[in-house]
Amino acid sequence: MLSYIARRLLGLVPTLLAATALVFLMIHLAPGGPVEYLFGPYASYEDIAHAEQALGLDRPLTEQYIRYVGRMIRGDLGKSIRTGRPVLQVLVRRLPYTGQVVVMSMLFSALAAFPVGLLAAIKNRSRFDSVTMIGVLVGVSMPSFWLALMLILVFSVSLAILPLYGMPLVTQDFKGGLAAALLPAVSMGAYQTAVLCRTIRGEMIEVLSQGYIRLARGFGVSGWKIYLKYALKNVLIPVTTLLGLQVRYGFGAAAVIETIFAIPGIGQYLVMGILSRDYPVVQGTLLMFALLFSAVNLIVDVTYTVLDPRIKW
Amino acid sequence: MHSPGRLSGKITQVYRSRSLRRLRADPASRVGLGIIVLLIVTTTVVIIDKQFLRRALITRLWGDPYMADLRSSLESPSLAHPFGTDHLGRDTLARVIYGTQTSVLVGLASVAISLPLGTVFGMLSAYLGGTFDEIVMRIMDVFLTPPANILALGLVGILGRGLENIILGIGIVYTPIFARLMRGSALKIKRMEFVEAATAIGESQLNIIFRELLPNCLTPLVIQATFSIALAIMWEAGMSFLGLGVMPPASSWGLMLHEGQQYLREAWWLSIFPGVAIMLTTLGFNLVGNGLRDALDPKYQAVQP
Repeated sequence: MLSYIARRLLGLVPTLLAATALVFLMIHLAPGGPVEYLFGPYASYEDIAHAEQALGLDRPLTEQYIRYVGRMIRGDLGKSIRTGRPVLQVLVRRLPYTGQVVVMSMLFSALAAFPVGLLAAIKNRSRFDSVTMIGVLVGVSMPSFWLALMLILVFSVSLAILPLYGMPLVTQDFKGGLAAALLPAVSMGAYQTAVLCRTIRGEMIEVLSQGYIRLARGFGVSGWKIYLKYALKNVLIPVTTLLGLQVRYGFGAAAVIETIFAIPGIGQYLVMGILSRDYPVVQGTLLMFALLFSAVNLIVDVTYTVLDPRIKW
Repeated sequence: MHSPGRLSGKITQVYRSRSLRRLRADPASRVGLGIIVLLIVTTTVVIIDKQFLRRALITRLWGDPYMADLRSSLESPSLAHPFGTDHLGRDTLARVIYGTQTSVLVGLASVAISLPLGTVFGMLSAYLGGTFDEIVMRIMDVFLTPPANILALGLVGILGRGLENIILGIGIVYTPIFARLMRGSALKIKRMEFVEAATAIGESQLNIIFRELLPNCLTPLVIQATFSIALAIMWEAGMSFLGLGVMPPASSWGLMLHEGQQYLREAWWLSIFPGVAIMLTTLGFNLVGNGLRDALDPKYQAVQP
């Protein structure tokens, strides 16, 4: 197990190198390159040449890339062009905010999807099942940012029971943090809740049709014991994969959700970087995302072994 | 000499027509098909109205979707303006209708870029194998590592804002998904007996690729393409919402929601109707996607990028 984790951690190195190369190439091969990216299309030749020299952009691409990776290993992701702050420092400070919303959205999805999905499977082809499936379709088709707007409209504007903008960390203000994270978490998690619900239902229906369940029934084991003790275990494995995916999706939705709720997380930082053409910020944030996804993938794979003793590494 | 090609053709044809009948019989798919037909008709009418009639038709019906009229700003829904008006006094219904073409364009164009590209890469990878396969698939894997919506957002951030770049960004993100799918099914089909038979009777390589392999690999691609259109429409709305898409006064549902957010307290209608339009559109493609899957390949699991 430990050697498996070590091997996987080692495997992260090429993945992250590939990700840096991808981000680096995307920015340097984009029309105009980073300097035009900085100055816009109307900069003079002298300005561009001067800036290219100052930033080392006149060197060959491979040399620039090696330097860039070298700086990155030392924890230097560059400085924001707009504010002059070191990107890494800002990212580290912003990460907990994104983390808080993403964790809340996972909790919400799991809490909502498990009971509904399981019940829909147990009462397969009932009215409850049909309503659930329609709900799933609507959930999959609803853009998260629109759901966010609708939730704000109902809970923050009409009823005025939840805060409209901003979010403290739970470590600073526990109640306030939870209340403020509720709407962002629900809007971020709705899509995944729907997908999760559909998967749980589908897997459960399949598991329930298998021989060992019928055997248990034949032995007179009560319904709930079958569902929760024997069937649920085999549903958990595909669901773990999905929860892993959900974290990825949550980080992806973070950009737009954090912007709506004015949450100072890394998603909002990426959007600000894009809108102000601040390429060190864009570069650094995308790398941070790549690191996070790789970490999540690793955690998901390790969780398998805990859930399913048949999987050995 | 008569070419023996399409050894598999007859079976595929029978199977397809039966599947399409099944699709048309499914009520959910019918609703989805209805929505898609409505979208296509609306888009066509909008393009005609915009290009040839200088927005005369829509202005006559509800109001000019582009021209500001500050006397009627932020009016709530009424008979004259069924969806109300925005901060510049433009009719919301007219703008929702004009926004249709943006969504439909992004949905279709991004898939029109990625589907052929992915098909070519995937087919060549499966057919040639070896080093080519290895290199292409490693590159595709790099693109598949980050979640697709962040990658698309990052690409648009780097390429710059605008509708063309959104289409290009989503197209690039989709390509590896189609390539992987194509490669997977081509590898499976390649081992089947009719391909062996085609090789044995001396069909040319191109014939085998285009007439034996390709038609039999299309099913998962078609299903995935339908779901991909839905997702592309949702992403375009999201990016336009962030201010990365079309420039005003052009209309896009995401941009309308962006403008509406500032008037959430005063004008709820600005935030509701464009969102309903996005939802119904994605719902339509998702319903048809589900129907296609059930009819053609019930075991297929859509790739969730």
